[in-house]
Amino acid sequence: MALTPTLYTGEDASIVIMGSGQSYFGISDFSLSISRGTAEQKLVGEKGSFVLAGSRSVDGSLTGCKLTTDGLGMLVERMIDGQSISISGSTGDNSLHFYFKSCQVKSFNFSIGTADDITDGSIDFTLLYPYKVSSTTQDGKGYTKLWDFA
Amino acid sequence: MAGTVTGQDANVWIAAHAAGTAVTDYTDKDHATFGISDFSLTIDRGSIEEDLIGMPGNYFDQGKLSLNGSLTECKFGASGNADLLNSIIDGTGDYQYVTISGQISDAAGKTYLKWYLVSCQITKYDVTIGDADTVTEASIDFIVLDPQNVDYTTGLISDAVHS
Repeated sequence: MALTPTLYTGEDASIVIMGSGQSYFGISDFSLSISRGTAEQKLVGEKGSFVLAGSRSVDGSLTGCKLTTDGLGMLVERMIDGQSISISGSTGDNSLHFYFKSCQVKSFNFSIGTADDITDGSIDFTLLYPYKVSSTTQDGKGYTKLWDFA
Repeated sequence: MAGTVTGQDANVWIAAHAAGTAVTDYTDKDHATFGISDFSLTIDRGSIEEDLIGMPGNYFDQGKLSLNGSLTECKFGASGNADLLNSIIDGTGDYQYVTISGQISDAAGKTYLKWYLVSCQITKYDVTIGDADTVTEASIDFIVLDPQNVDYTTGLISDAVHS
């Protein structure tokens, strides 16, 4: 646990994608989901089933407004070419840090509206190697880190 | 904020054409002629998954590519441009394919994303009629028939086979 429990807002967050910070992409929202399935064995004669932890998966999404070659275009290029991207960041200095190298862009969508609408694009991504994800809590530094490489 | 633009900066061109031909005349093929009020393009890349024994998760890799999109127009048929209607109804000859191209912005200083998709097929054409306060619009869905040809070059997403 951090030395002092701290509340953070989006202002404290940082996102780095392929070495470029959030300002390169004009990110307006970012989400990261870590899921763990369940394996369930139904049981006769019991009031409930037997359940174990199942496979792990990690995916996420972001929205960015810079639809340029040095913005979201870098991610679209990797998607079309079938190459992975790296996504790292933190929700705050003493909060969650993550560094994933095996991200695949699964979906890119942009919408164009009127002169009152900012043109932005949405990206969905998933981790190709979720089984490599590890976590560690740095008590001395006060943060928890997730990563998908040795 | 540099690189941020609105829908005012975008351009869209739509034109039906025969197989093996390229559209050279875009007269009356722009967003203003169709009266486009919104446009979206989605690129999907599937995942393949291999179950793994002895591991806490499965193996994933890149899957197939697919592209589709949608738009809404208020000037259709003879009152604007009928290429989309002709293509979904006829679908042969000069209306076999639809080229849909455009750009996020052509403002100087940045290279914005552009798309040039020559193998589009209209998959849905939905006209909605309301009362006197409601503009009659048509919602169109399209799909790219040749996603295997799609590449990305300096901001251009294209399925035109380059020599």
